[in-house]
Amino acid sequence: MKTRAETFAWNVKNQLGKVHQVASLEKVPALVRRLAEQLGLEPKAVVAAASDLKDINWKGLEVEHRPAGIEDVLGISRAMAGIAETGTLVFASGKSNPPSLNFIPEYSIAIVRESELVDTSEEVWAILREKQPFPATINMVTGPSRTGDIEQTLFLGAHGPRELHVVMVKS
Amino acid sequence: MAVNKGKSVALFATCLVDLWRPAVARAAERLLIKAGFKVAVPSGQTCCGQVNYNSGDQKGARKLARRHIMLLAPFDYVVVPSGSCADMIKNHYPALFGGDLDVQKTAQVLSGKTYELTEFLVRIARWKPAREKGAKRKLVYHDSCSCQRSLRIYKEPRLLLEAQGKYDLQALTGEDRCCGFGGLFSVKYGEVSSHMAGKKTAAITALEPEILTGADLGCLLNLSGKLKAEGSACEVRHIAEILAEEEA
Amino acid sequence: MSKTPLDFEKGAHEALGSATLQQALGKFQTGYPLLRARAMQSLPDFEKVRTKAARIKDFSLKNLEQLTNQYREKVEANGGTVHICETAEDARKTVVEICRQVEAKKITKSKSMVTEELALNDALEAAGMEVLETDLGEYIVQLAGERPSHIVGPALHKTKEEVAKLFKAHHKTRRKRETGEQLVREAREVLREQYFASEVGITGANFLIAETGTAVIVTNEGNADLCRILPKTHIVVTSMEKVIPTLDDLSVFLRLLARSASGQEMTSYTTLVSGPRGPGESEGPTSFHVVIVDGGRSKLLGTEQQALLRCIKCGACMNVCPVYMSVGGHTYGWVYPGPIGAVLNPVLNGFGTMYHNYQASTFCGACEEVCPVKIPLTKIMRDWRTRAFQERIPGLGARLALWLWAAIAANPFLYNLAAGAGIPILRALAGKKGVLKSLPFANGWMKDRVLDAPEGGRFVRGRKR
Ligand code: SF4
Repeated sequence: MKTRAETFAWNVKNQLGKVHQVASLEKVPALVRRLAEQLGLEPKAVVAAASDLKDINWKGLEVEHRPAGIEDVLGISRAMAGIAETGTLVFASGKSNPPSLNFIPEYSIAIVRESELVDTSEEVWAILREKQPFPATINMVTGPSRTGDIEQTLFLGAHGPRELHVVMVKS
Repeated sequence: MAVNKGKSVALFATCLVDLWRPAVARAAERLLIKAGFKVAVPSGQTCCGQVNYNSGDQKGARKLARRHIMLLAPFDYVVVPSGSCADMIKNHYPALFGGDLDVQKTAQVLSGKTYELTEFLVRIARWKPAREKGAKRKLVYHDSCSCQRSLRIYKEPRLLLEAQGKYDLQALTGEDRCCGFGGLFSVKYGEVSSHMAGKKTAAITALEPEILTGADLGCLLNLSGKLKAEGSACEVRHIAEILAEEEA
Repeated sequence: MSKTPLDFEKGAHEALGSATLQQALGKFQTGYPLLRARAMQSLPDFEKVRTKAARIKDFSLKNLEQLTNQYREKVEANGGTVHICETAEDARKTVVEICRQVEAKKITKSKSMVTEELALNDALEAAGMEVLETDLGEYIVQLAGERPSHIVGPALHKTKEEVAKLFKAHHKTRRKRETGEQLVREAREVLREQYFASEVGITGANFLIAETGTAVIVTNEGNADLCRILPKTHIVVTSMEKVIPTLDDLSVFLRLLARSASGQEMTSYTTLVSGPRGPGESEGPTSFHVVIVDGGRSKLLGTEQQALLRCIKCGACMNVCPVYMSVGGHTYGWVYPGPIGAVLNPVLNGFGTMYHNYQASTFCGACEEVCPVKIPLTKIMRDWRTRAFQERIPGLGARLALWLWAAIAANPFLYNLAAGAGIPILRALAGKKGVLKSLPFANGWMKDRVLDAPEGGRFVRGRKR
C-alpha cells in the first residue's frame, strides 16, 4: 500500500507535474533559487501572501506578494489541500491567495504541506463547508496547462503554466 | 445430451435467411437435431418486423410481432440464426405491447426462451461439434453489434469454432466496431455504410483469411459485397454452415 | 421551424472525400479508445459510478425547479445575479444587455456549446462588440469562420498547416509556423493581452451546484480561468439541466468526466465559482452573472426521453461512433454532433430539419456502452423515428414501402407469391457470377459494393410438415 503522500506524488507526476519534497518551509527559497537557475530564469517571483510564505526568509530571491501580471514568469502559490486520488491541488481565493498566480506565470510552483493532503475531493468539500463565506473562486489544479487542439498532439503551456512544480513540505 | 431429448425447438429462419440463403437455415436445423432437439419450422413465419420497428413504423412492427408471438410461443425454445432478429424478439417485442397486457405477457414468456443459435448451442444445448483433423484454415469471425452488445454473445461462437478444430481463428482489430450494415441504413446512407464496411474489410483482408464468418447474415452480405467489390477471394459463410459442415 | 431535412448525404459525401478529415478521424478513432481504457484502469467500478451519476441526474431533473431556486438564492447571497431564460432569443438579449451596461468593447470567451447553440457571438458582434474565443480549438474555428466539429475538440478537423495559414492571415506578423509547439505559443501570446484588455469574460459551466451556488468550469488550457479572473465582469452562460444538488455529487461526475472526454483521470483545471470576488480580494470580477437557458429542454422533463438531459457533454459517444468517425462533426448540420446530437438536435432545432440526425445510425450501440450517465441513446433515436413517422416526416414513398412490407409479411400467401417472383428475377439479373451490381430502390447499397444474389429456393416454404 502506498501512503497518501506517495499516492499524491505519483498522481501529480502521472499528470505531468513535477514533485519536490522538502523537510520544512525554510528549505523552499533554496529550492526555488535552484529551479530558477535550472530554468534559466531571473531569481524573482510573485508569491502568495499566505502568512507562512510571508514569514520565511526569501534570501537571494526578489519576491513580491501581489497578484500576477503579464510580465511575471514565476509564480508561487499556496494550496489549501492536495487530493491524493488525482494529484490535484486545491486553492481557495482570498486576500492572500490571488488565483492569477496559478495561471499567468509560465512557471508555477505550488506549495502544500503533507498534513494538508486528503484522499478524495469529498474531504475537501468537508473542509470548505466550514469556511464562511464560501470562497468566490476555488481552483483545482491537476498538472500543467495543456492542449490537444492541434492535430491531437499534446502540448503543454496552452494558456496557463507550461510547468507545474509541486513542493510537498514534510512538517 | 439426454436433457435435450424431446424438447421442442422452433427454428425461426428470419426473412433474410429464408429468402437469400436458405442453406443457412437448413444447416441450423441439422445442428439442432444433432444436439438432440425436436425441431419445428412453424409455417407462416416471415419477417420479425425489425425493419418497420427501426424505421419508426410501430404499427407495422406490431402487426408482424403479434403474428410471430402467436406462432412461436407454443414451443419450449425458439432459436434464431441471427443476433439482430433474436434481439428483436427477446428485447423489443415486449416493449411493443405496452398497451396490450395479454400480448405483452406472452411476449415476455417468449422473450425468456428465445436464443440466438450459437448462444443456444453453447448455453442451453451444451453441444459441441465433433473435432476434426487436418490442416487448419485461417478464419475471421465477425461479431455483429446485436450479438456482442445487445445479447452479450462473444465467447460462444469462438468456443464452437475452436471445438471443431478446423480453423485458425484470427484476432480482428476493431472487432467491436460496426460493419456499417444496419438494415435500411445500408441503403439509405449507402455511401457512409459502404465506407464503414471498407474500414472493416481493410482490417479483415490485412489478416488474409480464407473464410469470414459470423452469426448475422445482414452483416455478412454487406461484407461479402464489399470484399467482392474490392476483388478479394475470401469466402463468406454463416457460422451455421461452417458448424454443420461434416468431413467429406 | 422548417420541416425540410438538412442535407446529410451531401455533407457526408464531402466529408468522405476529404483526405485530411479522414486522416484526422482515423487518428482519433485509434487514439481515443486507448487513452480511455488506460484512464478507466483507475476506476474499476465504472459501472457503479455511472449508475450513481445517472441517479443523481435523474433526481436533479425531477427536482429541477427547487434546485434551481436554491442555486439562485445562493448565488444572490454571494452577490451575483441569475437570469433564467426560456428561449435562445431571451438569452442572447440578456447577455447583450449585460455587456452593454458595462460598456464592453472586447469580450474574451471560453468554450461553451450552449453559446454555440445561441449563436451568441453573432448577437454580440451585431451589437458592436468584439468577441474572442480563447480555447485554442475554438479560436482556430473562429478564425476560419467555421463551427466546431466536435464538442471537446472543436478543431479536430484542421491540420497544422491549415492552422498556420490561418494564423498568418490573421496575426499579420512574421513568425515561424512550422511546429505545433510554435502555433500553441503564438496563440498564447496573442490571446494573453486580450484577456487583460477585455471588459467581460464569458464562460460556460459544466455543473451548477445548488448547495453552494457554485458554477463548475472544466478546462485543460486554463483559458476559462483567465476569462474569469481578469475582466471586471464574468458571465456564465449555461443550460438548465446542469444543476446538481451537492458538492459530493460533483465528485462523482468529476471521476467520470475527464476519463470519458479525453482519457485523463482529471482535467488540468476544475474551477468552482460562486459569485463575484470576495471581500478583501484584489482579483476576480466585481460583477457576476449566470444565464441559464432552457431553449426547449423543458419539453423533455417528465417524458420518457428525459434521460437525455443527463448528458454531461463529455463527447465519449461521438468518440466511439462509427458514423461520426466516417462523416465528422459538420455533417450533422447543427451544434451537437454524434449520437448526443442525433437525439438532442431535433428537440432543440426541430424534428424535420434534424431528420437525418436520428435516422443515420445503425443502432450499433457503441455510444451507450461508454456514456458515463447511461443515456439510452439508440432507444431515444428509435423513439424519434417513431415520432417522425407519426408526424409523417419521412416521404410518402418511404412510408408506403414500409406499409407494403408489413402487409406482405403479415400474409404468407402474398409473401410467398412475392418471393416466388422476386428471387428468380434477382438471380437472372445477377447472372452467372451471382452478383448484383445495380438495383433500383437499392442503389445506395451499390456504392463501391456489390450484392450477392439469393442462392435460390426457400427454407420455410415447401416443407412437408
Ligand atoms: S450522451 Fe453520454 S457520452 Fe454522449 S456526450 Fe452526453 S454524457 Fe457524454
